[in-house]
Amino acid sequence: MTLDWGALALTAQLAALTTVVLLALATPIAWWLARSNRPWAGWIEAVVALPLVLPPTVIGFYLLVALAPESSLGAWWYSTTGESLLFSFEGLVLASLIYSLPFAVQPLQTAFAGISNSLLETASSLGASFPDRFLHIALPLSRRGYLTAAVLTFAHTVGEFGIVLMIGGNIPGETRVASIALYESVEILDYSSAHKMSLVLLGFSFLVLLLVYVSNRAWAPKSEGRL
Amino acid sequence: MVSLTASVNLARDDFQLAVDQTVSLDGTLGILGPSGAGKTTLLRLLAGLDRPDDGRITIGTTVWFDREQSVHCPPHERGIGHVFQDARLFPHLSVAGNLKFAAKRRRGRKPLDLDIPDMLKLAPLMNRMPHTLSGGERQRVALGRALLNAPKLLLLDEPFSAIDGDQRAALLPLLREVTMAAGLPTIIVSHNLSELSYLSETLWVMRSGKVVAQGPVAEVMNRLDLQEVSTPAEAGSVLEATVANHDSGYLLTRLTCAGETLTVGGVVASPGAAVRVRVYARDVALALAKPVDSSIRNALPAEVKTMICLPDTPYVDVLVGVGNAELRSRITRASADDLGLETGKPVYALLKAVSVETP
Repeated sequence: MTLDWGALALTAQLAALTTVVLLALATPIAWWLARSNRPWAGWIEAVVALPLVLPPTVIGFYLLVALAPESSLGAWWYSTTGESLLFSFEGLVLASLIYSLPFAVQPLQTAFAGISNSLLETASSLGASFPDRFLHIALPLSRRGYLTAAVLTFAHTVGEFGIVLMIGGNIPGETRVASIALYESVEILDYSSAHKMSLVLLGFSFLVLLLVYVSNRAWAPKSEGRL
Repeated sequence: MVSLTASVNLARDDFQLAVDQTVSLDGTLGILGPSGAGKTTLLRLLAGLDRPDDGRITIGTTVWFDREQSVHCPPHERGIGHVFQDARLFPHLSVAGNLKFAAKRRRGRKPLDLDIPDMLKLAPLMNRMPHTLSGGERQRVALGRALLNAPKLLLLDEPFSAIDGDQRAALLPLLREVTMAAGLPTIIVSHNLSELSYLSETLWVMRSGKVVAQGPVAEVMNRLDLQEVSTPAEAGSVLEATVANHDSGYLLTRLTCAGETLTVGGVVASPGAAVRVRVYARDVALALAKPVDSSIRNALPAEVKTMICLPDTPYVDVLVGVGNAELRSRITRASADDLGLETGKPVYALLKAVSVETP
């Protein structure tokens, strides 16, 4: 057997889409968490962090219930698109957004918390509105946070197995991602394919971590935020 | 000339600010006070970075804040140049990038008719990143950045406190030159009277969240009853003077001041130029007769106006009138008694040292 390129391509597609959507979603959440001192911010933080500690099968089970055509979300999706969310690529994207949420929010929250308020105040004195301040001060100063968030989200989405198995199944071109393909190769004792897929995932994971750590060192702040 | 009205109240845990002032921002307004007096808080309210609990802030005909009418103009729409004690340069932008950030956000205001990078000697710094600059260089960039934004009002919050002595001495005249040339209404906050007496036309003294004295700098500095202007290191007077002529042989300059002639070390200013003379109270001695055979050249006929004892010290502050001006002198109580000083008594004010500030 050979390497399952289709599964790899689907995985990359899922991870890329999840990363892009999640960075956009996580930005306002992380900004609010980093800047808010309301007592219930802690509650939101705890909810966001849940996927870190829950067994993936627990999330998978709840998603299975929530996405089923009998549920209100599943029914709405079915009536709008004519397809089921379960065992579909769209369902996998939705699940990935949930289980990778903390991997996007937490690095961004740390990055935003490190931006001194005085710099944002200075920018506003100089005539910068909020979107302008965010785009030209906050964003460039939190680029390390964005890199970390993007890489961790992508990698974590690539690596997820339990949830995919529960709500996605194993449909080639739709839900058969790399980790599922690998599992199946082992099931049918096709160790040669399993070796190839494992090696690809191992190499990919190492490269990703290397990228994060090396660039974090290169971009290390030079007394940033304190000037 | 712009009129600023600040009628604001703000209560914080253990601090209360209550200011109700209207001032013509003709030149520079200095706000003096110890830390914790509310100077920075007041500037933040003016800049819109914090909101007062109550009150009204207007500049010219523009309303920046009005509690009753629920008006709060956000900071980015006020057109304020704010220079903080920590320069607050954007760390991810070069000096040129920081300046460009400000110049691009003038919001339709006309650029100042000045070559700001040239005046502040910023050209050699343009490609540097903020973390490579010295404290003085950072403040120059911060000031240049504020000015390139062409603000309607310049706020300087202790701009020299993070800078060491030499750089401060270099920056002070530069700041004076730039604010004068820009003709911008300016408010500078400091706990250092020497800085303010040099830079300001009008002076407010703040204490515990309130403005306790206000007026022309020369007037407020001669208030013997104000502890803030009576510290041992800084008590003194400022006098307006004009350059009469130069003595190139002795490298001296003669000034006309309050109808009298003052001889000072050579000043770089042409005859007729207006200068400001700063005399520390500790450098003014009093005598009943004009001294002869003395090295002191400046002995001005004067008259005792008021006196005040400095509690728990050997000193007494004496305010004397010289022509139409006034001078503060700090002498020992023993000397005052020996001389029999009392209001109306004619004396000579002997100036041991005079510093002249050319604009």
